[in-house]
Amino acid sequence: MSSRTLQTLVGTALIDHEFCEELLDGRHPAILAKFDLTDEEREVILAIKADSIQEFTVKLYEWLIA
Amino acid sequence: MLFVIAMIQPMLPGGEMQQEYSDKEAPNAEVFLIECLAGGLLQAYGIEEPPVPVREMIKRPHFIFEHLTLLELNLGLYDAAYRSCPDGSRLIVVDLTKPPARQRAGMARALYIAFCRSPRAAELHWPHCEHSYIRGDLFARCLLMPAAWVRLACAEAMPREDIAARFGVPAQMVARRLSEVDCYALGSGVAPSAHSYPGDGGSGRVVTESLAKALFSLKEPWQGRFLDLVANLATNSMRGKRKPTQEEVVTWLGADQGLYRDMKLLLDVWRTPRRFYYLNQWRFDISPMRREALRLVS
Repeated sequence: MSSRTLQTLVGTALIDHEFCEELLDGRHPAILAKFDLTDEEREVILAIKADSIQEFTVKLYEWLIA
Repeated sequence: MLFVIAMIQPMLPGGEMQQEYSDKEAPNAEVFLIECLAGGLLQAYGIEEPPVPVREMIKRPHFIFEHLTLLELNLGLYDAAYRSCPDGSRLIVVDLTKPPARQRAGMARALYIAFCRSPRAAELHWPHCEHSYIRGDLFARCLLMPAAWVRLACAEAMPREDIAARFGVPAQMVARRLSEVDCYALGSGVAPSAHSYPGDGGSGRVVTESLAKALFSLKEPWQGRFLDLVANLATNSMRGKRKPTQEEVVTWLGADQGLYRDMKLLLDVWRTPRRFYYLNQWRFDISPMRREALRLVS
């Protein structure tokens, strides 16, 4: 895994409305199955609270550079 | 032909007609967002290696690009341009008289404009959609030269011309993208491929001495950590705890091009303020060296 996987995940959300909604909802961990994420990344992604994919992306980015 | 030109030219907004697009520095989070968009499209199209078939991507548009058509003409005007028509159809016009690499770069820029004009972009409140050309070049670089693939090319110490050929992009785009990736990953502003490596000829000794000197100029505890790392890698951890001499480091770096390249990359990354982000990207890369690097600078 690398941040490329995280980029692909966000990118998928950017172009796929349904996936985006489920990602932001945070209650559909199964949608992450097709991405090669670590346990930590999975936890972080599911813990992010955001009203929009841009907000989600900023929070994910902040976690990446923290 | 004149009819087509006459039809297209006046309808293009001023910014979109410009051949040289503005490419102002984007905030980091916005760069990341655009990298993500490009990554999402590559994933959606199942593209896993360069060159990215941007022409085919437009010919078989993803559903977010509905009603998008590629028009290939011998215009002699612009590399490529985006145009939305009153009937709802949308065109990317590419100029077949231009070199293929420029056509590809132009189509990638135009694809970004097409995205910015899409319902999905409106739904997302995508930033700067009203001036989509501002980020068009950045998106084109992200789409045609994904950072991970560029880093692989750099790790192979490919000359820039070969990188341009591999990715099917203009040399100017390679220079800019390498600079971007360097800013991210190397910080030197010089691509690894531009460095002389040991064994390249007479300059090998000079560059290894330069790198060794740079390692010895670090303050503690970093100097000790870097020297431990290079010594352990060079000797397979067979050397004890003694601090290596500068001459020993020069010798090790000169004897192993891979070690030189990795240490050079690591030092350059370490020197950039954003090193944690880039090392974070490497956490699960294949190289034990990079895993060690993360421990080193943590």
